[in-house]
Amino acid sequence: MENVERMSFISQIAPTDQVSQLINLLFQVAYPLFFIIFLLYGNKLQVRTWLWDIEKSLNKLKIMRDKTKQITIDTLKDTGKTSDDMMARLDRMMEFFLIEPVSLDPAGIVGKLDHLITLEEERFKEDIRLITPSANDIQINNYSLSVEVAAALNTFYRVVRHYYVQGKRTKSIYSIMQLQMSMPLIMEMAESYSKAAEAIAAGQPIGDAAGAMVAGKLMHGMPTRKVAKDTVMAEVPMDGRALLVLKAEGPGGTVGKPGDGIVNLIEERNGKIAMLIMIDAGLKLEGEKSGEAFEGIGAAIGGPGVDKFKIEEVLTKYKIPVNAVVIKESMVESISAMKKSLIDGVDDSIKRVRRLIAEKTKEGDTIIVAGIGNTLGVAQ
Amino acid sequence: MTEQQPQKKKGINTFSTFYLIILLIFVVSMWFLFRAIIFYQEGLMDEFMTSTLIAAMGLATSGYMLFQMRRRTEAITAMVQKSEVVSVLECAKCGFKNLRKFLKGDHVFKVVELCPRCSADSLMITAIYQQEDEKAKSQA
Repeated sequence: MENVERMSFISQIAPTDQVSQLINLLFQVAYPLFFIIFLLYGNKLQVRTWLWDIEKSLNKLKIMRDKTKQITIDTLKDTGKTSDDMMARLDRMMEFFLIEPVSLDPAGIVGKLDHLITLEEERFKEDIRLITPSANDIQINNYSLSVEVAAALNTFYRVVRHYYVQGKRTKSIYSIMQLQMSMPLIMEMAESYSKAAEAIAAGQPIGDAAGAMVAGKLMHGMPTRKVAKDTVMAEVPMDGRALLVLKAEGPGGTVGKPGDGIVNLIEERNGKIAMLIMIDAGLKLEGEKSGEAFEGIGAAIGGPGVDKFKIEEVLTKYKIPVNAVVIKESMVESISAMKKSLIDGVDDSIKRVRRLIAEKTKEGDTIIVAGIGNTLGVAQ
Repeated sequence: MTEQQPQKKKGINTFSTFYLIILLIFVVSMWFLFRAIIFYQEGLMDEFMTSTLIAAMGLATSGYMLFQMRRRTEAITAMVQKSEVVSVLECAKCGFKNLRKFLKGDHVFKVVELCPRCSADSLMITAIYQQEDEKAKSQA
């Protein structure tokens, strides 16, 4: 009796017949409709989803760009008096470009590229000097790096926006698909630049400074001299050998001119160098541990290839053996504040350099040890 | 700065809306589940199957959405939480080592202060690094 009463109460609050009929009707209509919509508008729906994804990423890129620009402005203002046209100058610098030399006739292209890169660096520094006349050389280098990061993020934003608007306008499924598929990698790079901005503004060593830190630790306490623009060296005695340790001049954010520095050191000694050891940060593959050091042969140096070309030319001229020690790190780690695992990698690399010198050279030899990378926050 | 504040507010509203949608789907799913029980008791097997299917779909959707929201919240929290950058101060004479928060102007090989232990030499910054999150470290 009690059970029957409860059943009727439940039936009252949830009437069964009408609702179930309505649901069945809805399903009968929705089922074929679902197929028709997907048959006719499947691709359009997919494109719309991709465009939403790209739009979200584009908004994130805009926020990152604006935040980085703001960090740069705050850093520049920290120095003291800034020029009245700071914002206009900064905007101009963020849109700055370099036209690469023509490669139809590749002979002599490295020299042309070197000339243009040097001009670009000088132009950046001159403009920074005009914005903050009271800044010293270290600050100029750091600010120049900050603006470069902001400019890089601005380029990311502009390029993605270009392909997004173009894809939307032409409704080209393939160009939108390509962009959507590339977005995770683009965003990863943009995020690493965004993180770099804070580290650079604060003057903290970044992952790329690993090579410079190895050289710094080897040459610390010894008298230094300039061998090329923004590049210093020190002669360090070690186990009866003479080490010519070279790095970019810190603690400002610069990579120096290691190519010119190594060429000058070798030419000064008429090629009488037993070995060149280059230490640099290298990109790790996914799954590899950060901070692990690896050894190999060749000029361990990144960038557009100008320094690498100069080094390879002089090494071939004098038949000097070259060893490379690479500290593995990700793209994000290379431009964000240095991690403890990379510091461990620096210590491991020093041991490897010492072992290489002991095994591959003899007493009385002269060896060049070049620590490559941005020396932000690392003195000597 | 003024541009970023509305963004933050919009973010919170979006999150609340999503949580409200999840709750709504969950409530509707539970209602269908409840109806499925009634249909079963009344012996209406077709209606029971339809209601159970709708309830299962709703519960799966709300569960998935909740999982995604948690992931997103964690990602945003991780973005907001900045790992601390420290300077390692070492005394070359007695080996005293101290870690302190990075201060603007710090750089590697900078001599900062007299060693508090031996007072014979100054402390020098030997390293500056970002402290790694254990979770992130294990993922690397």
